Amino acid sequence: MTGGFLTELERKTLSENINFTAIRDGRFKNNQISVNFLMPLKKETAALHALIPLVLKRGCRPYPNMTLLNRRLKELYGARLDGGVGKRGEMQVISLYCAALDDTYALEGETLLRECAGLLKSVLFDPIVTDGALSAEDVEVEKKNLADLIESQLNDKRHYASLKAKEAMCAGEAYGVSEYGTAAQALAITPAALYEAYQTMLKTAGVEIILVGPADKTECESLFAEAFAAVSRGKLLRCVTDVIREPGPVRTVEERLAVNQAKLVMGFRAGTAAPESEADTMQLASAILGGTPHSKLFENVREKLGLCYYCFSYFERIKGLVFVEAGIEEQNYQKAKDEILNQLELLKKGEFSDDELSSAKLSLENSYRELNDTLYDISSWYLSQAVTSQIRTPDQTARALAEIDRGQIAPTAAKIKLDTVYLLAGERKD
Amino acid sequence: MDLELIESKRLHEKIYYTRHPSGLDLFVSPKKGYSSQYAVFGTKYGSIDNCFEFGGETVRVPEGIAHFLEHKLFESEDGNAFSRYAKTGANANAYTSFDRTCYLFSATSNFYESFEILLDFVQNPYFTEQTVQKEQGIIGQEIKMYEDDPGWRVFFNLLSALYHTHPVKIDIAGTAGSIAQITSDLLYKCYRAFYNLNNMVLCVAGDVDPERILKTADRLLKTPAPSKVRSIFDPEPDTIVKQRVEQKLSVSVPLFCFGFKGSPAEGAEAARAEAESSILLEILGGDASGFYRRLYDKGLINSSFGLQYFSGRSFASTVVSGESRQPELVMEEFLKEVKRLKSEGIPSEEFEMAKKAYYGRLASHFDSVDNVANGIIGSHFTGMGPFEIVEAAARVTPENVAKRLANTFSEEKAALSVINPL
Repeated sequence: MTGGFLTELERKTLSENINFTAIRDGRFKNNQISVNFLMPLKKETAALHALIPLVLKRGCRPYPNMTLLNRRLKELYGARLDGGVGKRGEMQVISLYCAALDDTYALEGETLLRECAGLLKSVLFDPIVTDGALSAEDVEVEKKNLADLIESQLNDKRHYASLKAKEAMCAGEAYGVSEYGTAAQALAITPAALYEAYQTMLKTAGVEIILVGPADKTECESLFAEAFAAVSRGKLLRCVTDVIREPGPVRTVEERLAVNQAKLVMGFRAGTAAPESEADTMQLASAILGGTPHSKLFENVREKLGLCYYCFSYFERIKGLVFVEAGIEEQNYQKAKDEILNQLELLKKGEFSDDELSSAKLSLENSYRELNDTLYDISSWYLSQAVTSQIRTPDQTARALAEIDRGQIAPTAAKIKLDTVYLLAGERKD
Repeated sequence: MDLELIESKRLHEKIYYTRHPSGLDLFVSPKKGYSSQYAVFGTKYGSIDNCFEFGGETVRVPEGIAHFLEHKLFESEDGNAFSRYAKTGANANAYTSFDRTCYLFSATSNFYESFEILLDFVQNPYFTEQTVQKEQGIIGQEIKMYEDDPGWRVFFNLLSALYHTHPVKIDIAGTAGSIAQITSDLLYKCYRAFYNLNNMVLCVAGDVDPERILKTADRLLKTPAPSKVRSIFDPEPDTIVKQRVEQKLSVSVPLFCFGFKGSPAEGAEAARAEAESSILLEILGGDASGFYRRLYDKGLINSSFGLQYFSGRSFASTVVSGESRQPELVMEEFLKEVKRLKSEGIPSEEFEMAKKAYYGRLASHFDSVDNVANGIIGSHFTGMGPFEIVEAAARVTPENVAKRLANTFSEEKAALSVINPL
């Protein structure tokens, strides 16, 4: 059963590189509107861009501090206004969004969407500016928070290992840059520099505005069309992800911290990336390898050989990379690595059962179709699609995967080449 | 066996309910147009139930056994439930919490085939010494993974500071030592005691026909001999164990968690406690509060700061957590704020704002099939109906909140847990 009959999608170009996508869906009690700015990910500007949404969401001229703004949101039935930064391929995406109960559920006939879209617009276009700079107090507090956020990536060891592996693997590439920048860069940001970066963003970034929920889009669309029309757009940025297909000699990196469970991360160049048609096949190949509890990695590295607690693989489809991650005992490192590479070899030779193939397909189809069911997933999906300029619904993607022939998989998997091996393990007690 | 309609006109939601002859409670929430259907089969058995009375004897079992059982239940003589789900494409999982264990799946196709798998493997246990041994290795690694997790540790360390004997402080997975004592006989004993259908609940949310769900469940549910199990808790004194606990882990900024020991509640009282506490905490330290902004702008807290009414069957505490370089100062400031609010009273507009925000958040829960299903189970196991918290929230008065403020934050019943960097 799909959500088809309750959902309508409309995508409109408001002006060059500014798109408004509306997905009208009567199943939800909430509406969510997000405004996303696409900028190239670069070492020099990453921290600056990461700080923009953190400062903007603290307030705006009508509600000049976080308490006043948050109080207004509470009055609007606990509406949420938040924002942050993400990485999609070699693009840095700066997002601000507002989610609120639909007007239907307001107890006193309040026009919640209009109010919330208005707040989002103010936060984006009407921040508090003094002497050509954003609020010095806000910038001071938030840049420290950003620096802390960057350092606290240490806390979740699995996440940390994944980040460090990517950093090492893509050291000279934009992808190796953190979407938050570095703590040192964050602390060095001035209110004037931030204001300038914010204006550059408004004037030159690609913009994707996405509305999901039961409400009619007309008012929202005009509100943002008008707001952007007032911005004199400059030379528009092109965001391109450099897909490197061939690795150099295999890099091995080892790091030691006080951990109980070691983490192994292996990075591979996939040799294909979205929107190439082979990217779908690579997605399926990766799922057969290690994307489900019936995958080759789970069944062999974990269940049969007992070498790890978790072992999975995934395809970074925009940059064209495949990763395998495993939580292991350090003493099993060599065995685990060997078995992972063994399972990959078998995949490349086409040695996987019909069951392994059908369960991977079913699992992927299921996870795509499930995306239809939450506002956040729908919004996130269409942002990802817009970023590779290939707009498909989750159902269309599920269907495309279902149609992949067994014979296509091995030749595609053959392109997967090992690039980097990273191990995070406990401190040696000498 | 008839389906009874439980309705919330306020939220435009309908839930169907029946008590099956086996004693099982069945709930169906038809959510038209959703792509995924979600089913949860849960039992009122969790990490806190490590001492119980069943079949005329009192049994004490090793810590972590409920979680161990959850892992092993997926296995049968001829394979594993995951392999069966692989053929239907369902996304399956399970979790063990303090007071319940739940087996679930979500599916966008082949729902009824997956539903049969769920009802089959949960009702058919198969434990052997070999399969128990293999799992000891896997769960041993899971335990190690959680030992590294600072968020998990700061919270459990707090529980051990607040509770003398209550098993809520036990790590849900147990310890390497405790799981080494688990045998297949013990697993069968726990299974027979707690996995009787009269101790269980089944809930489905999604685009399904309630009558068809009922018919299918009826065909697949066994009718066991009725039995009763009673969990026994050693008496827990009103006092706390110690005021401060600290541990060092590989973190960048210290994590903290301070809590105030409270009294457990069930049924209507639990719904009121949940609603009143949530609104109170919003007023005290939510992100629209003066307290939040004051500490945030001083760099004493950041957006990870949160307040929670932590409760379940037989336990309740109020917990405040976050990251800070000065956790003691955060707690001190919080206590000052409690005092201030007590003496000055809660302004009515703050109360209205918090109440509205809470209602909005609760209503939003119903947008997601898995929140609906898990919410129904959670409420049910605490003796509440599916909409009871929403209704309680609508009825909360400023006086209720003032009373809760007066009774929740006793310093004698408070403890602070900190995880410091190495």
